[in-house]
Amino acid sequence: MAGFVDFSHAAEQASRDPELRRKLENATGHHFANLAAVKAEFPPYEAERDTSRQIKQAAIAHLDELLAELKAKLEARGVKVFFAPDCASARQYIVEVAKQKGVRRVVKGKSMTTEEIELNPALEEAGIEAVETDLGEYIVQLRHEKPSHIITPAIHLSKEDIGQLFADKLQIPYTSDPTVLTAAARLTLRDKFLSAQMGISGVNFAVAETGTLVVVENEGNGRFCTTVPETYVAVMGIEKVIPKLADLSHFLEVLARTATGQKLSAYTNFISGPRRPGEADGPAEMHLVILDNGRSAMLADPVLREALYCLRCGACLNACPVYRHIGGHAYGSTYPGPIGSIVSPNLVGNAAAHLPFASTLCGACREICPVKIDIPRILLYLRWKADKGRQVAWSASARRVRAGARWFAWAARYPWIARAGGWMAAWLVKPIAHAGWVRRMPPPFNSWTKVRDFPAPGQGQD
Amino acid sequence: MDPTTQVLERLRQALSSTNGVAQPAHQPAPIESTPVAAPVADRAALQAQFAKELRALSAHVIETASDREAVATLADLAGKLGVRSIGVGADLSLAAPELEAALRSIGCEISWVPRQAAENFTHRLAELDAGLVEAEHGIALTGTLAMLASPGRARSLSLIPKVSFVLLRADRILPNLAAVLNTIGPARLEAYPMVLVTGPSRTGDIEKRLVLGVHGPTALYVIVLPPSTSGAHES
Repeated sequence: MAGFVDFSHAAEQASRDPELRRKLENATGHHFANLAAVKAEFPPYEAERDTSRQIKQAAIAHLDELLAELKAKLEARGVKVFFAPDCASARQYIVEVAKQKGVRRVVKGKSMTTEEIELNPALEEAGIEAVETDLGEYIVQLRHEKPSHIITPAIHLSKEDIGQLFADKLQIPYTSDPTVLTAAARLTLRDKFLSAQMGISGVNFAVAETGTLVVVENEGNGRFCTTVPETYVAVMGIEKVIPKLADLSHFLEVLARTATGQKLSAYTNFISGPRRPGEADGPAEMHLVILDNGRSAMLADPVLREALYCLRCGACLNACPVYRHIGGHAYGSTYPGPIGSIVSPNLVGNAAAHLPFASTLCGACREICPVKIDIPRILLYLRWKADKGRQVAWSASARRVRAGARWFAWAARYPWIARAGGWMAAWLVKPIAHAGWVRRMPPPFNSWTKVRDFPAPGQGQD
Repeated sequence: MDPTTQVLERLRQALSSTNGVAQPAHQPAPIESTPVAAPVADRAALQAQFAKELRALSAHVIETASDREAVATLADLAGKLGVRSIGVGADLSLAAPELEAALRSIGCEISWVPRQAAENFTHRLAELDAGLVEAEHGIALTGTLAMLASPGRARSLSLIPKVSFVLLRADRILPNLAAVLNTIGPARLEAYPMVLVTGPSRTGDIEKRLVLGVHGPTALYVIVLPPSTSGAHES
């Protein structure tokens, strides 16, 4: 498992970086404070989560029909719909459209799916400039990096890092003031928006009933990308479709609250087609690329299917103790964190086989997930699958743990043995226990007490 | 096999391979049924909640009692903000002559959008100091404006200029998003695009510090007009 060795190494490096941890804790701390506040103010939050999950469950169970309905609706209004079996065909389609339209510059709204298909290098190879316009994405693009978070791409950078970057790349005087830095980006990107011939965005939801794409954002760059250029291309995974317009409010009531602690994001765009006769603006031509890339294999698997409910809100990253310790880049995958660990192995295959092991299974991701995806269960399932194919040599310590667990399982069946065992343990540690804690145990029992204290077993415990 | 058939066929197979697993049939989600027009007694409460939520997002909300007051407020604001040029949406529910006169009186140049900006549309909008549009609905729960585009209502007039003025009739404020989607309905959303606007453009991408006005408007002024029936008689 070369991937795992690389991950262990990257994670170890990252965990030695206290500055990275400060930035991550700062950002995730903000998120939790906001989330707690909006949840307290909105009593139906839990009910809306359950409803959202039910709708996703039903939608995923009828994906084929819903996607056919979505396609028919959009095509009736002149939108060109392309189903891409894999990343290469999606890239090829978009580059081809751009070439045909003589596009020289593309402005992009935030889209993890276009990261997944690695669109930017393909566009650049064709001589087309691809400009990321979400501020965080723009920052990581200037640094030739990948986003380290689904929602906050530049979470790993400080305002000083970004100040230095802008001084170098945008030739502005150095400042670490976020307001001034944002204004500088606005100025540069405004020109790009007005001169680009093509806009590309991701999709948060696609309503089959009406053939409407819903794009959620805060900055207004999504509005620009979907409105101003002559050609607009939307890119989504097959799992984004939902049945009815009436389903939408349930998702929108939980999405922003969970993702950023907002009640609703600043802009929610509903796009149903290109410019109509008589309209002054909007794209003259519109395309939708619907990507499979391993998702249908997840659909066929009764356990993995649940991973397709994901709204890409990014909350599980913030909740995950591993992510908060090492950041997104150490995972080495487009989608980092808990959700990345369950979807990546199916999207990129062996290159992500290590990710299901990059978790402590603490369950914080499942707690925060707006559609209650049982991520720990899927992680365990993927670990089991990864092991199934191999004849794994059990390590000596794993064999000891297994033997110990067997003894315990046997003893626990007889209350008197369990009681006697507890009594004996208490008697044995009595000489070395102080105030209810054992600080040091003799070898070979000292692995635990080398790093932390052990609670002394009480007398007469059952 | 063409890619579309290939993907849809894969999905069909994937779904049939798990036929043994119980599949939930889709049941229409229960959406909160809300009367289209809130009873008058509730209207004040909805308006108060709408204004409070939107102000919490650093937008400015000015509640007016008559159309005449709204026109005066607009001209006053435009003057104070130093707005020299303004794009005005073509189908507003305020009387055009009064509005034009008030704005001209403070030396503000008016472009009727989209009528007078057809050529090179977005570049023309980028040169304007402000845009004035009317929202279809307000959402009290989140302080949100629902704006539908149409031939008379350009998509980008509320996006490109730095200052965004939005008119909203008080009786168009509904309790929540479900009520707004319900009222607008599938047919209208199929015909034209909509955007929900909840405060001015914002970002937290640099160390989670809130900054307003990234790409969209830096400042959002919402002028709440009296309910449509009373306003029509006054002006």
